[in-house]
Amino acid sequence: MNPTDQRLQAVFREFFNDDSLELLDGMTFSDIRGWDSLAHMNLINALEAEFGLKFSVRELMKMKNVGTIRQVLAAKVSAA
Amino acid sequence: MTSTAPLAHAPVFLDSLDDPIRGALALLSSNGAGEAAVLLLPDVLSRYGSRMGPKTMQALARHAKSAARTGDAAVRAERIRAIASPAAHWYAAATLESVGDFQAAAEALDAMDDVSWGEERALRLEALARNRLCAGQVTRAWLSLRYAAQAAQTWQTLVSLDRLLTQARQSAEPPVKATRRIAVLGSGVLDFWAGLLRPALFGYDIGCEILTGEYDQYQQEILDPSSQLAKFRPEIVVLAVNWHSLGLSGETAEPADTVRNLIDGMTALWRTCQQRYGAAVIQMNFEIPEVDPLGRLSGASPGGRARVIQQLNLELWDAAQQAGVAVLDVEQLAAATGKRSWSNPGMWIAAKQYPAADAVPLLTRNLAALVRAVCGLTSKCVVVDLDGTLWGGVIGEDGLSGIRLGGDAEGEAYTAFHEYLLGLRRRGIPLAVCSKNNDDDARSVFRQHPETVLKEDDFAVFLANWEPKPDNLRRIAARLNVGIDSLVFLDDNPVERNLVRRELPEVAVPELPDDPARYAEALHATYLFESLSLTDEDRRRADAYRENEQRTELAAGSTNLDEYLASLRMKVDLCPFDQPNLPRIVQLINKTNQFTLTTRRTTASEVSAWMENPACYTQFMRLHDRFGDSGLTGVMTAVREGETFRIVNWLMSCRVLGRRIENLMLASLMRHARRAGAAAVIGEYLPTAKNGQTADLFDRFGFERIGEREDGGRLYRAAVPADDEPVTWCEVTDTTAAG
Repeated sequence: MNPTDQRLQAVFREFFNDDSLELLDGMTFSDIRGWDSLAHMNLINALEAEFGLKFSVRELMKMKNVGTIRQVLAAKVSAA
Repeated sequence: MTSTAPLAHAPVFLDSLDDPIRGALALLSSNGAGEAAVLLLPDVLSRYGSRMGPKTMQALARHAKSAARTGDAAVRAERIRAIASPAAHWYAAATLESVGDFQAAAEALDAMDDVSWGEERALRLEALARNRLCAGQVTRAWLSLRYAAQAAQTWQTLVSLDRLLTQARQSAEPPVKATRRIAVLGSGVLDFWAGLLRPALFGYDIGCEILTGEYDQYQQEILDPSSQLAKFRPEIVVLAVNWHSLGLSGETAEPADTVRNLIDGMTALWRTCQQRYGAAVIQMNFEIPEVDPLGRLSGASPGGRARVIQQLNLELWDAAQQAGVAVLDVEQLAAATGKRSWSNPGMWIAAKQYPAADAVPLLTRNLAALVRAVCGLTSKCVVVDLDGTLWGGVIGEDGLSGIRLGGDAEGEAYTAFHEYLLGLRRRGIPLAVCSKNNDDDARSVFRQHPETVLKEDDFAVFLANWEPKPDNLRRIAARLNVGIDSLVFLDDNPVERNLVRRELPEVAVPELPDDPARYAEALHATYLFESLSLTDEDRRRADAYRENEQRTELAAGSTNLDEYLASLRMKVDLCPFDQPNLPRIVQLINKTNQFTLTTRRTTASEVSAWMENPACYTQFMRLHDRFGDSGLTGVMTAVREGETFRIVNWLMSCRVLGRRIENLMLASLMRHARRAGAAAVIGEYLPTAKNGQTADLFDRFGFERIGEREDGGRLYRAAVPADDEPVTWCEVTDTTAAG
């Protein structure tokens, strides 16, 4: 797992308070307990803080599941 | 950073990085746990471990957690602790926590005394609280949790503190001084920050139950008598409406009318909250958005949005003052943090979040401070150390010519701080000195230094001696007749600060930065002195302490109480409540803790309601004597119930005790009761931790005990006497019976 993915997993684990959480690309709202639309935006806040960046509205619209979140982060973090 | 960088060259490589520790951790995670790796981490923790930022702390904790899964973690932790840098202690603590040795983890965290500022401090205290909780040391956990909440600078830390608080509450009730049911209503999605008011309030020793309003439903929620809000019965309503919801376009056609309508709309909502729920209202004012198509013309044009919002905010101060509502100055907070950090346009558009997550700690801290003021818990006195706090250097060693006060940049930083403290004194917050110095040396600066702004007379109590500071602080609280928990202690020395925190956890001890130019900012940012109103009594208070000193001297010379009281030449006014005195009356009711029989807190709207109610008797007491005007320092209210009057509130400021004024207040009520044809007066004593001195008040007045409660509360009854006793030792003007 590359560093960005590791940090993403760490954020998910801390956010959902579950140390055993393993992130898979296809995971969505229904796969993690507590991941509702409110939590989703707060998760975005946590990601912005973790990586020290701000997502554009286009990126926000794209990030709907773990796979797309990974994609957006991969592009954004390498560009930084 | 490449994952193939050989570990052997690591030191040279790491030296070139801004954050060598995080660089090392990244190297380790891609190069596994081979022998070189085992050697690298301790070396890094030793070389670079004296300073760490919050991100580094987070990365270290994560690494320690995953490394702890491999064997002999406890042994490695001990070896790392031996390195004794803050980073090593932090890493060891994270390892120890992962293997369940919470006691040792707490000890390792305790040893990290270099990390004393900002978010780093919050993270350390949060970890301390967590470990103490797991180790079963609940009392110490609460303390760490409280300090962590005070120090938290990020939204994430507030979230994890809230989680910790919730978890801790399952094993014990947190020690708080007050609790309130608070409804947070307004525009946008409030859930993401409203709950974080909980840890922010815990930082001020206040518990709460929070109801978060639905998106933009605040008018309906307030106006609908069967809403969730109504069922919740809020004690405080926070109106978190933001500028987006004002519906202002770039240019408003009728700016004056628009502002008027907006104010009227808000006033109507306040009135409903106050009348229907008797709730205290906190209204947020409006940010003036930076980005505007008119640019500077937005402020220059009469209908420009910036101009309209400025006008709105200005009129809002006045309208709120009239209505007894507190305004939370969002425009000021947004400016303080920087408007570009305060809001996140993408998050408003996508998720209707306002302000930005980064701004939430500042917002919740300021809001919590206002709630604290509503609860009557605003701090009452600033106690200052001298050397390093009010001047540079040590007076006992450097002498008057050697200390830095005025003159150069460093000296002017200190005089600027004097100015700030003087401003606090002028608004009614007395200053006191608590310094390890010879008394003469200490006083010499205020008497003789040409640049000093503060003078000896500006201090209500001056204790410069060699006794332990906690003892002096207790003495200061006793001399000022205030609770030890209303003191704020400022000392540039972190060792002294920690000592006082340990010995007197009730005293507020803010962190101070190294730079004296930023002392005022650090004190301001605690919001410990935020209050609801500024009255003339407040402005006079510091002088009143000096006058009290003079009375004490007179009393020492008198032989008996009657003679002493007569010599004071007192004039007492007993009046029914009125609008002009309302703010002071509400303030006194809400902050008096010692001479109060029932300690019933109330809101401005409830008090106004009593004034309108013919069955209510209201009385405020104003005292003058030959030394000065003590101002409005007593309140009594009673309600007619059939043949009797029952005393609902009876309280006096501790500054005017021992003068038999309570006799005059009661006599006034008796006169009124007689005229109204009532047969008796009922009194209640409701004991609290602080009002013990009133326990036998009714007994001393000859009331009969007619009821007792388990907690020591008592009900009393006395027949209304046929006539008054004449008063020779005081001039009394009683206008309460006119109504």
